[in-house]
Amino acid sequence: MTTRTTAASRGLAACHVCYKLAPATEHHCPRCGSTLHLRKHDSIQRTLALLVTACLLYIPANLYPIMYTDQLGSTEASTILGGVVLLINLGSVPVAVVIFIFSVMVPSGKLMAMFYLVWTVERHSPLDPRQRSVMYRITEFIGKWSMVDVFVVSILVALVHLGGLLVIRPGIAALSFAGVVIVTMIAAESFDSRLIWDNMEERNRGN
Amino acid sequence: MVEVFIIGVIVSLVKIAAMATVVVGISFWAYAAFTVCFTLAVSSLDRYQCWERIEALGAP
Repeated sequence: MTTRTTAASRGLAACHVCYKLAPATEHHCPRCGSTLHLRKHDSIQRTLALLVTACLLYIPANLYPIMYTDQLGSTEASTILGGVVLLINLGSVPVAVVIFIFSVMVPSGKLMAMFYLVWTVERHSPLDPRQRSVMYRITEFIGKWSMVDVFVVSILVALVHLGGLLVIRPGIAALSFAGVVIVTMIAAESFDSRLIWDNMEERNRGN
Repeated sequence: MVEVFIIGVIVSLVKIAAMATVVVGISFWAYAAFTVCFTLAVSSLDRYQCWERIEALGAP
């Protein structure tokens, strides 16, 4: 195996804002002036705390209605999954698939992937770090796409206000689902992907 | 986020179309074009090069 050197082992830290490599002994980045850290502070604890928060918010997000449709005096509540079923019944299968992927598969898959990454880093897992890095990059990239459902609800609420005829109101789930998306995005941001490689380096040094 | 928003707009238009007649206005196409341009602009920006140029200017 080829020997790899990391900047951290040479006492160099990369700035989180402008990516400049600077000696880790300095407190501020010489280029942009932001605080320098070798690794993100308490990365694992923060990520785990945010993930647990997201899990708790995920429960009301799926159980409660995301929006209410008041049509001629009768109120109809629809949950996230109910909306998908409704779209299929309306005949717009492609849109239903989009909503299903972004609102059901992406948030739950992202939560599982982040828990898995935190767990493997904590356990100093020998699993392929390259694969886990790719996994992290994907979870970081797809995070914002879950906002689609939140935008849909906010646009519908703003547009559909036809007096007593047809009114759409947001439900509790809209707020908690937006919370899930935002909190998981912050969790992905606070996770330091370099920790995956640090494990690898420790192992190489041990051999 | 703009690219996420345009998908949201399309999905809501489909949902409203089920309840009422929807005619897409000129603003929709303008916003779609803006999304394409803005996404391409953001993705072609090189952050490293930006910071190197700022450093070359001698800014604090």
